[in-house]
Amino acid sequence: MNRFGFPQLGFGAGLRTPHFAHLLEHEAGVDFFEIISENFMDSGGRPRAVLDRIAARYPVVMHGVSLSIGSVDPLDRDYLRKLRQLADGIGARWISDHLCWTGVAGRNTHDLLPLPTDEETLAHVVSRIRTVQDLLGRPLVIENPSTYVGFTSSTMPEWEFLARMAEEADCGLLLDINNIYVSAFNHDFDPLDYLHAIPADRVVQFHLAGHTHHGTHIVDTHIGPIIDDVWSLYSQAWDHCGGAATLIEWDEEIPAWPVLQAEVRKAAATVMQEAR
Amino acid sequence: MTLAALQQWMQHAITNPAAPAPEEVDRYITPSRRASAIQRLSVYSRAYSARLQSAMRAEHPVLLHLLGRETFDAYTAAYLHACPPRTYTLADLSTRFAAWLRETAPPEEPWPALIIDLATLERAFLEIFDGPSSARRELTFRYPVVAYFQAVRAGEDPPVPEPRANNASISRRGYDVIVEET
Repeated sequence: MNRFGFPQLGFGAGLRTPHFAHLLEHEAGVDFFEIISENFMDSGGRPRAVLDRIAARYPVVMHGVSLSIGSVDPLDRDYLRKLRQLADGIGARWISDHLCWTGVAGRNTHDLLPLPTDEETLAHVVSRIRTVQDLLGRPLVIENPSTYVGFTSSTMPEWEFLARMAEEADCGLLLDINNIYVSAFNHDFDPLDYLHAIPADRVVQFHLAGHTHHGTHIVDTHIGPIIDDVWSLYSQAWDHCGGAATLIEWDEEIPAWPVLQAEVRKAAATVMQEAR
Repeated sequence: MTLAALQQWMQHAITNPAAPAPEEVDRYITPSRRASAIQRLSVYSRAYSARLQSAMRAEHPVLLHLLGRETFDAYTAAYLHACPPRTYTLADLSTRFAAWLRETAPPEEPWPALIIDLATLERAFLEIFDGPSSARRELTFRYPVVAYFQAVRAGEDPPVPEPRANNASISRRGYDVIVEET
């Protein structure tokens, strides 16, 4: 159980447009949903109406891609105000985003760009998380990214950065198991070194997803089913953290709902079988 | 190098068509066992244009149909270079597309008007679709783009329209968007 008292919501899926019609007509057969916050923050049309109906039936958590917690640009106060408004409006159980930056000098690349893991960046990110938590009036949950470059200026491994960040900012962690796997391959480290350094009581949620292997590197595309090595790492993460709400992300070649639902049930079966 | 300088450098390196020199990249980026620093950085350069161009295609399916993928992508690449995204939502990506087309169109040729009209209609459709329910837009076109827009969205391959000045309105009935010539 995490130290914030956030509930263990069970096993859920990312809410995506192609499934709207099915989910309004049928039982989802999953425990909770996660939305991409930015897709609903300004919605006055059908997307928001569907979300309201989903949120009336299932717990919903919010996952953002544009907070840009690591950018040196000023925090976007208008964005944060809308984020809080949406969270209040749908009764979101928590709000997460990524350890990354998305742009600088007023631009947004709409990518989750990597940060150097050094003391200057750590102090910057910790200070920004504290400000965001004050503005949102709740703990922020930060996800470990998948990254494709390392920086010559980094002075500590990402797992040390993440653990120190969480302690110093007093925030939660969303542990993306696939991202650990992807980054371990891309940066030549052992995923278990990463996993064992994570402060277990700060992990609020797990993410699982498929990826694309290019031989020289792996890209976190959220495509296809989850591979066996990631399921195995998930089992170990579950043991390390004592369980947490688990969510499947599927964003490329999105399958029919029953396929995604089966992947969610597989996550449950993977760790529940172990518990027996 | 400060974090601010590193972010400026990396953003410039991945959003500009010209790749930086390998020795410059080596100063900031480490290699892995399998890839050089510049090969690793190129994952981000490729993802940047691929993501934004894919979003432009999703926002303008009718103009994409008219122009074909290659020409459409050439337009959007130039547009995104001139007007890179500056807000937190991809829904704002094509906000300036029609205006940019207008500003850069060759003045003596009539055909850009069709492209501009379609870009204007598709952008307005998106804004009405996810805007407040009372929203309504009145538009003036030089081509009969409403019929073309509706036919392509219905999966048809209509002939390219001939010029004909007209007015159109876009509004909402419930969550359905109503597009009609007036």
